[in-house]
Amino acid sequence: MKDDLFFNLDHGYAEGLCRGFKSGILKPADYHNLVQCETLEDLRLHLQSTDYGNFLANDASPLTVNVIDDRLREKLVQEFQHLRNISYEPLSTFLDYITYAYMIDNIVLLITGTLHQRAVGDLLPRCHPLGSFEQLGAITIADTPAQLYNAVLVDTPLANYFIDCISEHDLDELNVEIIRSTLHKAYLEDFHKFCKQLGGVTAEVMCEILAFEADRRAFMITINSFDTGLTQDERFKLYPRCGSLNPDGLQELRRTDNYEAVKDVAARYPIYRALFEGAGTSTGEKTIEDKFFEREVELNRNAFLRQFHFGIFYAYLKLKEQESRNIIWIAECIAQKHRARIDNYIPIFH
Amino acid sequence: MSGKDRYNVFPSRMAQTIMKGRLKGAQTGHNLLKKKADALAIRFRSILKKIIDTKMLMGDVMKTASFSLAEAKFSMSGDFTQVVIQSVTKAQIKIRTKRDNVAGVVLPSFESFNDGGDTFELTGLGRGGMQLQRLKRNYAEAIKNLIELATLQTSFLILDDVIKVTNRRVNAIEHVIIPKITRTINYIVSELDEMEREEFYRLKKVQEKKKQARALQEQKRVEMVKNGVLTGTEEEAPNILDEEHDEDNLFL
Repeated sequence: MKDDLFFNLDHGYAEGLCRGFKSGILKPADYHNLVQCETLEDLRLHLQSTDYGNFLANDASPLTVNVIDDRLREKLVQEFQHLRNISYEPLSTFLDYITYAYMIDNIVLLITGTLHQRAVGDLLPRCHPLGSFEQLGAITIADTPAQLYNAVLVDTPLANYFIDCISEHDLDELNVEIIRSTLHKAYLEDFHKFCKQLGGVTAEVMCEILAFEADRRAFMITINSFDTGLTQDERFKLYPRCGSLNPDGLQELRRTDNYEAVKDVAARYPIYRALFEGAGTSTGEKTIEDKFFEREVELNRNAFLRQFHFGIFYAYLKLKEQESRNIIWIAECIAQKHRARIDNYIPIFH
Repeated sequence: MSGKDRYNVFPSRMAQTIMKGRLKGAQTGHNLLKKKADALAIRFRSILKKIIDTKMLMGDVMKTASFSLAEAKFSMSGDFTQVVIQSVTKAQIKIRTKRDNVAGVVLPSFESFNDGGDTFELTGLGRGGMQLQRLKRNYAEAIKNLIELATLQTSFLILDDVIKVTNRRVNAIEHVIIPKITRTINYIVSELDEMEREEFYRLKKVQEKKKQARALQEQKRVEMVKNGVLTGTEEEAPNILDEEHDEDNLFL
């Protein structure tokens, strides 16, 4: 109740803005037009009539997919920054939490770079803008990951994730992917706790989305680690605990060592059973990743059906990202003249 | 063109034998070189065919590989390319060169081997791992194709060069060396013939002179017999102790 009555005081404008952005997300008709383009110039033309407008107007004539990628990301970042700037607490903390995921990616990139003695000046432009924080520029002073942690990371909001899971000794030795997965696990669990704390509709919507995200990560880590040197116990440490698979499903997953076994574990949960059944591993069929994407899009779309909660901001960001990926996919298919699988984008609205 | 040249030799039988030997050597050399040129040409044509096939295959493989890169980018949200680029330390696929010998020509061939494990095993652990594995496979195949193509192309260039050189030599032997030797031999033969003729003529002349001398002596003897100095029946017995010059017996 409290939500509904007082929500609009602080967050009404932000919510309105967000819903406005959401209505600019491309519809099936737009996708239909894009798929029929022959060249990237046609693509640019068609995008002009959508909410994107002239965002590619300043780019020189031989348009490349990388340029389109950069511009899409810029636009997304702009919209998100605007939302962040006009938000009040606790919405601003919520939006900050969303950016932590990008910060994790940036930090992993920087750690990798320092491990291999790359010039930090090269690395900084490659970081995701949504994940920038003040100490990002100060990374230059550190030579080893341990120094990096002590000097820089300790002051960031991500410091807790590092403390929870890895000591600074491990930073040097562990494979960067394991670092990334561990950080992401801590982040998801933290975010889940925060949303639960917020209570109300936000908790309902976000916890469902985050639980799905946790389960999805558990499944994907399991499937992707089958042929690698990752042991079952190491894998178990990377599973986030805030999903619906916790604790039995995770134990079962830990013991699996092929795709069929994972499918059996999923069969005990009706939603995941449906997803796995629709998927196959051969080319031409939808992979389980595609099904997961579709389910994520569905959950995000449903977030907009309820009002007075923060979930729509998260959902909007994720949907816009998915749309960017779709556009890039279509652009790549057009540029490489490989139109066989051009329809493999994930449709957002029906 | 100095095509009417011949070797400067003194025309003798010895020189003739030597020249004949050289001719034989040149002809054998010519045959061998021709065989070599043919073998190289066969190998050349087969390499050409393989190059064409590999290049066509290359086009397809690269297309698939680029497309799988697009797929991987689609399912891995986030720019995984940067992390990969930054964590590269050394080459994973390296090349060893082996030597192939074709009709005496040394052709290098490249053989790839995997040095070190796959440092990117865990990339894409959270999401996109399957596409990444496919991407790695596709590009590994593209590299294999490229290496094959590199071998074929170096062989092609080297062979091309060697074939040109060999053909040049074959033609040189056929059109320059052998005719020169043949002309020299002909010259020697003609000179020898002429010398023989001269010799013959000289002998004939000497014989004539001798006949004349003998006829003259016979006349003198007949006169002396007529004059009663000699009876004409005595034969002069040769005196071994006399250092008389013995006439040559010319069995002509």
